Amino acid sequence: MKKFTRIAVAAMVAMGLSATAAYAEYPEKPITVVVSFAAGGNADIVQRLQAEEISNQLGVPVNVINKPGGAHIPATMSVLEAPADGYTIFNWSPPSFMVVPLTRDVPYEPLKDFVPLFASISASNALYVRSDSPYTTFEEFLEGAKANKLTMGVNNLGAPPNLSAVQMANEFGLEFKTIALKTVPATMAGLIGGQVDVAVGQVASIYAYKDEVRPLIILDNNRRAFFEKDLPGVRTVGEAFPGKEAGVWVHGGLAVKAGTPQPIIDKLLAASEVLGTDEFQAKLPKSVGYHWVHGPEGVGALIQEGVDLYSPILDGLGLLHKK
Amino acid sequence: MLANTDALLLAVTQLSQPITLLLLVVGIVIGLIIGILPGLGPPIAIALALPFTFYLEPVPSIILLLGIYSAAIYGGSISAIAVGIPGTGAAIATVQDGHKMFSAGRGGEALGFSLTGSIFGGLVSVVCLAFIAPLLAEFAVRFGPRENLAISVFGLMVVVRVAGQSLSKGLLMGALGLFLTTWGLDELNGTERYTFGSYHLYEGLPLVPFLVGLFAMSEVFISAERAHHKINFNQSSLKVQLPGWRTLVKLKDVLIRSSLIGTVIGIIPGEGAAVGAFFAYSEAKRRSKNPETFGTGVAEGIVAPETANNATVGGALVPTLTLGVPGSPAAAVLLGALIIQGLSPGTQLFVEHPDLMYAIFIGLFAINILMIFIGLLAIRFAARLIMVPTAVIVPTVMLLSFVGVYSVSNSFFNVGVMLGAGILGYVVRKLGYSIAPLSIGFVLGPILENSLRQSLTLADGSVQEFFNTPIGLSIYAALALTILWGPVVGRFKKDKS
Amino acid sequence: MLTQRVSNILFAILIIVASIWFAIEAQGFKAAGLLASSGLPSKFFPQLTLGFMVVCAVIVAVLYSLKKIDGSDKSDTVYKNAAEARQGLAVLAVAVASYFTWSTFGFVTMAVLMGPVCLAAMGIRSIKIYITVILLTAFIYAIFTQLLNIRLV
Repeated sequence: MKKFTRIAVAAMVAMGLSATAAYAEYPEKPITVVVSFAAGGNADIVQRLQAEEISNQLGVPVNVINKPGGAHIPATMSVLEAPADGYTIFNWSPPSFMVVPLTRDVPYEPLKDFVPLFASISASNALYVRSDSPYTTFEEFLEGAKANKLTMGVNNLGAPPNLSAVQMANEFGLEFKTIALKTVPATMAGLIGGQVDVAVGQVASIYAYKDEVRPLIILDNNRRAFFEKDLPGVRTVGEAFPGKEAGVWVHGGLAVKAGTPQPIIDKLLAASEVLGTDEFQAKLPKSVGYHWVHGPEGVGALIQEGVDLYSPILDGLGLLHKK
Repeated sequence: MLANTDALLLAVTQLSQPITLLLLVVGIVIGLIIGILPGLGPPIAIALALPFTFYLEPVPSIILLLGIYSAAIYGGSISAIAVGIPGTGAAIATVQDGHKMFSAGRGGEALGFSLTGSIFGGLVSVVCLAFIAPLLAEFAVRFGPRENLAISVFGLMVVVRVAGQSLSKGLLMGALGLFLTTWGLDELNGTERYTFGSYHLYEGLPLVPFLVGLFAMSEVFISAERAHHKINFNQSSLKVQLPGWRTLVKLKDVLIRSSLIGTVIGIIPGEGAAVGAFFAYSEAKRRSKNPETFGTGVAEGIVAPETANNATVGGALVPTLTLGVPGSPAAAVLLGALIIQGLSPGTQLFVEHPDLMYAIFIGLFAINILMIFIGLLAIRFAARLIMVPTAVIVPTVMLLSFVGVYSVSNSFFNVGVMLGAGILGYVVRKLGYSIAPLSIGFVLGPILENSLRQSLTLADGSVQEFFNTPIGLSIYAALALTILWGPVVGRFKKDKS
Repeated sequence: MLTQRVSNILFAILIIVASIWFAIEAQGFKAAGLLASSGLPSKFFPQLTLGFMVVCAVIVAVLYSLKKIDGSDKSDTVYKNAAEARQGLAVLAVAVASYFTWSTFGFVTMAVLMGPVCLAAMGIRSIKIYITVILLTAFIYAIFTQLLNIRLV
């Protein structure tokens, strides 16, 4: 495999001269988008909708392939193994660009090895109980959680819902038995089925389980535009308990490998402009939050915001990976 | 639930539109082709068709995808029988008797049995889905770590018991399969286990390449040994025949039991289909008058797993549609398609869109009926594969496996895993081990380990809490019963005589 | 010829040695993140399955040395004759070589070579078969690249 890479690099260098001319014709073959989640989830389906739009703009097929597992590292690295020619694009997300690099040793640096094109999909977390639960308010829940060690459901350990839960436990002095149920819908189903007493899901999880679950609080410091649409009247931690911290950073979008020629990046940026329009956003499922940031500088700043938010949180929990 | 006539009429109107009918046929044909190719199973087949649904209304798009899903599951059994390669975990149980019967020159018959079983199982599960979906959903949400642990232990033991002759050899293979799934990053705390310094191994050994290697590549090497042998077959083995009425009546118990097993076990999120198929197989074997003939190419050995694995389609749709939790990787993609259509699968879906519910039930029914005819055409062709010399099959299947496994995620690492698994499979098969327990251990390993660890977290040190699961306890009881049944009954019979 | 008895005993010993090595390796597992709230350490499950494998392998080895079980295909030897062994192992070697050919020289080179070399390894002489296999190779290539839109490089 290493040898293969070396030969591929050598071939690339050899073709370097003729390649300059080729930029003008980009794209002339199908483009692949690597998604580090399994097919069918929110990240995947939004990516497929976007791929179709980009394909219409560029006039070549844009194929989405899924490489789940391995803490998102194999998927991320598969993009870095491919040549920086704009034909292999990465669907970045909180784990690949934020949580995993902050908490463990990884063979890449998100902002050095990639050029982000845009940020689109977004979300925020909320705390849910069953609708027949004795806890009707967050305050009642706090009392209950202090009296008994409740079972907490999250999707995956280390994912944003889990971090929100851990931060909440820390801020309010609670302790939970944490169960990871793989996906957010499975977490909600586990809550309904009584596998867990309380669960952290996304704000938009409410749509599929309206009558079965009850939101207690939004695990965020500040109010954001889509909260009122999804969970009208539900407070955020920042509003209910000034001084208590509840940080969350969930964004995702596309990035190309660093070193991709500027003309190609410009073409991709132009082709993705349409994804920020209201027409396109109207096509999205209502369970998807969308926060549009276009261009490498803006997205770079957004990612830095996330690093600044999560580093102290993770450090406080003893999870920050010190280099 | 079935009283809403307006919604029913709306569903029928939407289904009878020409474009929907066309997509029904197209979906089945595409699903069959992709299901037959090694490595490319139902999830990929559905994902490939997903972009087309962006331009369709909800009903036609869900019909297209359901057609692909059902046909791809069935297609996997064609290659399992004709070439000895199960496309998915669901078809592993079919290989044993299906491929034996095919190689014995009764290919047309074997394929006919599998088609009949598949259709029957599919239809029964649709009816269950239509009438008792809420009840089944109630059952599905009860499955947490402790229940998953019980069902995985159960599945593993069932497979070890039905595959191969030696118990210690079977257990060894099952344990090896479980062990190999521990490679990669530990999901619960990110520990690197046996990654040998390569980030490629962070995701562990990928499932599909491992299974294709284990079955397809080892079959390639074994066939190569027999490249010059003439396969004995007569003209009748080319003639595809669906079993006659009398045979069906004889098999009715197996058909009904396997359908119900498949539907119920298919509901459980995870690898329900493989466990369902094996459970049905072992039940058929346990209740048979001649259990020793199983594995040599008997009708029940094909009908039972094939009926059960197609019955899991309806079963897997229960949690997908009513809870928004996919029952299988393929159902996950289906779920995505529904979300793209602006629907929210979950407890509210059927309340808000009863017409869609009817369309899905009637559509699935129609898909199963239509699959009889399209399936017949396909197996007529597949039966002729026996005339193809082994020498042609060997390099062709090898290339197909290489390409199929690569294209799952455009990953060259996948090809390496397949090759390694192929060599492992070849060695153990040559030494008289059965690869079924190895593969099922590999399928169930992650569920088993995760549910064991999470059960312990839930129990928090209390043994009582660990077994505080009525469903889990009944599964353990059923396991004890299936293991002890033979000896106890044998003892009883001996005493009588 | 290699008998089932000897090879099975050797395989069981190999499993035992490998299991012990993997079990020792598992002692060195280090948790990367500390989010673990799991009741069991990462090494527990691998070591449990490995221990189980050792027990089974010992039983298999003992049974074979006492001649209590025989090979499943009712033959005493692993291969029926030298020709079968040669063909099986040669095709296995072709598969491994194809893997490296693909990684070094690209997909097309591998695909073109795989069929004919495989046939030669099995000692096939019929020209008709060679042509059929090459046609099928082209057909598979067309299906994957054109119909399924997959990039094979």
